[in-house]
Amino acid sequence: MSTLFNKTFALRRRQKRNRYRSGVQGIVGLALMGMVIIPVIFAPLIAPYSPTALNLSNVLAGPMTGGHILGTDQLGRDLLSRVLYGGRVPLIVVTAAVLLASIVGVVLGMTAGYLGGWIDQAVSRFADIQLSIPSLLLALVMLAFAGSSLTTLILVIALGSWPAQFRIVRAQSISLRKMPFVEAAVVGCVPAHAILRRHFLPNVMPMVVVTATLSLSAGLLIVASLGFLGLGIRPDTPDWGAMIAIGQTQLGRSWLLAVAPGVALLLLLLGVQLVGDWLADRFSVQGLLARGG
Amino acid sequence: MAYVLEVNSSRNRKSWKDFISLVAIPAVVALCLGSTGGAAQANELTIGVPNAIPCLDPACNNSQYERSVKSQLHLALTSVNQDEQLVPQLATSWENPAPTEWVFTLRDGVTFENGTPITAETVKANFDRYRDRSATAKIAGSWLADIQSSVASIEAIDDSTVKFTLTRPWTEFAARLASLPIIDLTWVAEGNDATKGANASGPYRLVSFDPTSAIVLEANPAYYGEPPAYSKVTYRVLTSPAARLTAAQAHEVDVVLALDPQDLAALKGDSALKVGAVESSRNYFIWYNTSRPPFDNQDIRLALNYAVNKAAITGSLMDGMTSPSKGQVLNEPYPGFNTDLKPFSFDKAKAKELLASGGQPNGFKMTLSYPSGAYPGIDLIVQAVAAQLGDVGVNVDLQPMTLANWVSMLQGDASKATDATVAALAPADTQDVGMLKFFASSYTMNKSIDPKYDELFAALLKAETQEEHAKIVKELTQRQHDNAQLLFLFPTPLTYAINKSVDMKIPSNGMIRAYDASPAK
Repeated sequence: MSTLFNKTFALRRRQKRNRYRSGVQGIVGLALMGMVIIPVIFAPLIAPYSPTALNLSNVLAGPMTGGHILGTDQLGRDLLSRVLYGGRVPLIVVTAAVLLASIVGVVLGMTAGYLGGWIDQAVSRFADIQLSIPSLLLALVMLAFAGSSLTTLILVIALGSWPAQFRIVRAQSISLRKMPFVEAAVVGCVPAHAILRRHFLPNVMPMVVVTATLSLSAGLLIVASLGFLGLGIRPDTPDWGAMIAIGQTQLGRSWLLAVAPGVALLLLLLGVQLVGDWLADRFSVQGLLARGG
Repeated sequence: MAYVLEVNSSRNRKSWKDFISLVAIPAVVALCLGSTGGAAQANELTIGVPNAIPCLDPACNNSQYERSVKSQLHLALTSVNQDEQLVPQLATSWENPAPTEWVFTLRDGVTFENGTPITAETVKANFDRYRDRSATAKIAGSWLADIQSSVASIEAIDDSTVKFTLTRPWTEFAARLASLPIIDLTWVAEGNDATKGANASGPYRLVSFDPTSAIVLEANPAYYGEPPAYSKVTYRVLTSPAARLTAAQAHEVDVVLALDPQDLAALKGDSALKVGAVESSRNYFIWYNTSRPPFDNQDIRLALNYAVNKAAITGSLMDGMTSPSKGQVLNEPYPGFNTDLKPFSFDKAKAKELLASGGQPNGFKMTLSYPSGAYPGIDLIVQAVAAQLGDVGVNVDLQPMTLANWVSMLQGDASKATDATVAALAPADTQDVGMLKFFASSYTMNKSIDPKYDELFAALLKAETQEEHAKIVKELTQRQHDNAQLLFLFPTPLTYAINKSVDMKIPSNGMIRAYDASPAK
């Protein structure tokens, strides 16, 4: 009896410790995200210089010289201002893309899971095809044909992200379809759109939020990679990926050029990932993510 | 206790064995390999070039690096050596008995790699092909236009004498032939593809051809001359400035060209490398698309010339390795360089005034394309130029392109081209005609802004004396300057890093040939 009590007590203690760890992880993640996102959003207010203002007589200046906290780049532009502004493109692109992917994934996933049949088969196969193509490769091909713009980048990231949302929402919707309260609503002749809105949507939302967070970090990496490869927005627009690429040749002379945007990107990615894990623990959807994703 | 000690000693022995097998042996092997490895292996040379080398047929032309490879596989009648002097190659001598006649005497006993002899008939067949627009239309672009319009006929007088009859006097004809090697057309007729393979006659023969990665050559035993100093050569394609810098820092290449000038500082401390730059025959300029407004307006073209601070760009981005061009596309390496012309000064007020008088007082938007990574510092130069034009109200949308797409755009329809493009062109022979031909109205970007230019250029092609030639070139460069046909920037410094174990001179035309190199003494 006492053994059983001890085991139960130990289990509870472990669960409590895990919850505490998960909570700390979430707080650290949110803090990291805030540390990067807030300055990026308020860049026009806090950046000391215009990110595109040239000063060809002061190129590659070191940190803390001539009023430039992080120094200047190859064109004499203030590095701190460029790092602050450089996060705007990735954040705008990825936020819009993940939002778009989530809407598409949720609508198609709920519809496929609820209706089943050929609609489910058709959309599922389409998602499978989409998943079999690496997102970065798809992005490279699309940008080569359509050219690089904010809209194209958003569409490219969204196209690579919606299948994950779709599969998770569809898996959850199939199990929801068999729930007594859903069957009761069907028998009661409640229209399908109302069932989806009232019964399905609130139940799939936690998974959607968790998946969106994970898609956010994947999207950020793709946007940075495209910028690094020279396929981002206009070459003179500050963008972390492009800044790392252009700064890599100056590591010996001015290492901050590549490292400063790299650190900003790293902190943001780490923050998003920690928050994603915390949300997954919070909503107990790790197992479902593994099955669906 | 004894047991514990025994176990420990056994562990110690095992850990020493592990250390020897996992760390020490590979380290010794690596050290041994390292002592003979790296780029500067005896008898092997690795050259890093910034552009892909897509075609081995001399009928196509994508860059001087491509021509460098072809010139080592195939012999031409003449050649331009490291000191940029015209020297005999397949022809031992030549004469110009009349203004429109050239007679070449061929070297005896020269064969292709497979033993097929090279005779006057071989030369005639090659030039008949170069002249035939339909035979080379898909690959030549405008590369052979001068040959097609100026060579009337070719005659094989005997096995070792060939006579060219021209439609016009062409004083630099022998120099032009240096960039048109002779290939084995019977080998091509057997079904071989000359764009991807070669039946070599030059100092090297082809081992492997991967146009976007590496081209490997080895000494050709059938070559008539002295064997080259390096028996194996690899041309590595390194399209990004970062890849070129890294390859130089890691000593993965013996010679690397077109490093970004600001990157040279990172190599100057390396005692194994010679680092520097030569003034090349390429001049950076912005080519307006004059088929559309506002670039059909002279005031607008002039305004942009005054809006860009070229001296600031050359002083910072080019690290002072070059200076603003003297308001023309020619510089010192060209015989017709016009010393009377002066650079356009940097004058924002004047630029704004000219924009207003050109009907664009509030500026305008324009697209500006450029071949990303193809020339030293180009990606930073365009950003600097765009920012400076932005200061006078001209909003520039930068459009980076691959070199291949950029070349296609220049050879395509003007309506599909961008509003302007950054170029650094140079003719293969560093001659005035070769450079000035790009600005006749037959070219995509310059549509009829100055009919007089076309007339003068036609007269230049007919010039019979050097004096007449020089006078017309001077007039052409003056007109181009006065009309602000281009936004003149500055000559491109041809930057390089060469391993000190290699003796090699970089010529201003950028021809980088392994047979010009030898181990340093």
